[in-house]
Amino acid sequence: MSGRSSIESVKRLSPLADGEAANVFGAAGRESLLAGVTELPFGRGAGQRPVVRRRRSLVLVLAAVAAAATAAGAWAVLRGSPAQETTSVQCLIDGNDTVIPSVSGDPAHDCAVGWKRDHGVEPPPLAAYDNGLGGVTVLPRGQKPPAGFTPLPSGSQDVGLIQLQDSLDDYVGGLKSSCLDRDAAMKLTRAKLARFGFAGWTVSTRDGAGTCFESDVVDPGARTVTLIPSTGPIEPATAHRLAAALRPLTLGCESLGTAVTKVRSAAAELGLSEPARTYELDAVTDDSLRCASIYETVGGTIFLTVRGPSR
Amino acid sequence: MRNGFAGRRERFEAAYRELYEPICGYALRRVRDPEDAAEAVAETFATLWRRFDRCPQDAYLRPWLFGVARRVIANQRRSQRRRSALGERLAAGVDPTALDAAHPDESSSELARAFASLSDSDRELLSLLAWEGLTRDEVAIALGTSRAVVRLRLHRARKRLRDALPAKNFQLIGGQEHEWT
Repeated sequence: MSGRSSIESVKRLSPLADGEAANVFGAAGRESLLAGVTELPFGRGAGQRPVVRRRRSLVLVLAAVAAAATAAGAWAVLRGSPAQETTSVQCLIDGNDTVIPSVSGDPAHDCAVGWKRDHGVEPPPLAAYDNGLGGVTVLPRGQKPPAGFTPLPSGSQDVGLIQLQDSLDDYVGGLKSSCLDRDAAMKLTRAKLARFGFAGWTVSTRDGAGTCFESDVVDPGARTVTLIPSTGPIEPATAHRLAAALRPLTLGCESLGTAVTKVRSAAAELGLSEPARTYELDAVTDDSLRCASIYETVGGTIFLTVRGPSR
Repeated sequence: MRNGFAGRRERFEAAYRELYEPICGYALRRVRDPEDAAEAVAETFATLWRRFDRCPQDAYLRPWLFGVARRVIANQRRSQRRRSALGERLAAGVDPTALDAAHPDESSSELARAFASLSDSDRELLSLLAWEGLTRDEVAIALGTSRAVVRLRLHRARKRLRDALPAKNFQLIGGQEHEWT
């Protein structure tokens, strides 16, 4: 018997292949476009603003985590909702559909930060919803939500889960900090589960090519972290160099402000720049912490999250 | 190695020839109107040209350019834009018969109905992997988000696709779902 994965199956639904698509425009169209594009001015000041943008903000955000009492209340409201089991937020604002990693636990706040960073202006007032699909969607407060959406209070995402995810994917001290074999990766994962208070969870592994294990899925519904051997992801060398530079900073005990200053300095020494979007930094005030934590993850860019006490 | 404008144009042309077909495919799979797709392809490569000295290179370039195309198409859907000269260049040679001939009729299959029942974001995620051939890490670059976000959302999208299909179609093998044909 042979089987095929869901991705293989979905391939069959593709309306047309790449070559067929190119044929629609013809060989002459291909050459004509190339000639036209290379006649355009290029570089900075070439006219149009860049089309692409990244999802997370470039501006330092000192995001106050919701007050403990508010968060506890929100948690109680959400218990049993799959929306609490997410570490991402869909921001649907003014026709822009973006998915951002959760940072503060307050989805509307995180979307507002992302919007301001990308657009340079404050967004309209925002409201967060359980979208009925196991996720959180943020819409303008004045917009009527689609059927099936349920309003969520602020502080409605589990900050512990967000930290666990960041910590596992972390290049500074997580699974991406070095090449860990199965046993070492499972041991480190269990230690992080214990650190963030996730008792009774299991750690499992999936088969795959490669020898360095990394986090695959953190699934609160199943209370499971699945690890998978790396199959050679694209790894920017700068991400590892930055992690090496940040590692000594995690040995001390700094306030948020001091840690952020040192992180920025380390990034600058490697030629990384927030305005150039070679990294993005979020700073989250968390006075329940004694010392600042620094997490570096990679995706559309290098994401740095610093959590720590205000003083 | 050639420097200056000539070298830049040479490198751009190499990237263009490598990525032209995938970007045409991406655009036409999402924008069925060939003129709109031509506009999207043209603007995507115009953006690449303008930003060529500052955009990601090597293995990052392809997923980054899919991210550009995604944004271009999203902007197109939000606004009634006039056609650009570049888009018209590409659209001038459109062969509608080539498009008609390419469409397989899968619309009535159980899989197609299940896929169509998913949310836009689930369909986008699955199609970036299945149709564009991006890896999960490349999808994170295209969407400009973290790998963890992509992994979890993919995990859930696949589950929702599985749930939307009659049970006989899928079995779990080694923690992964497989369709039995």
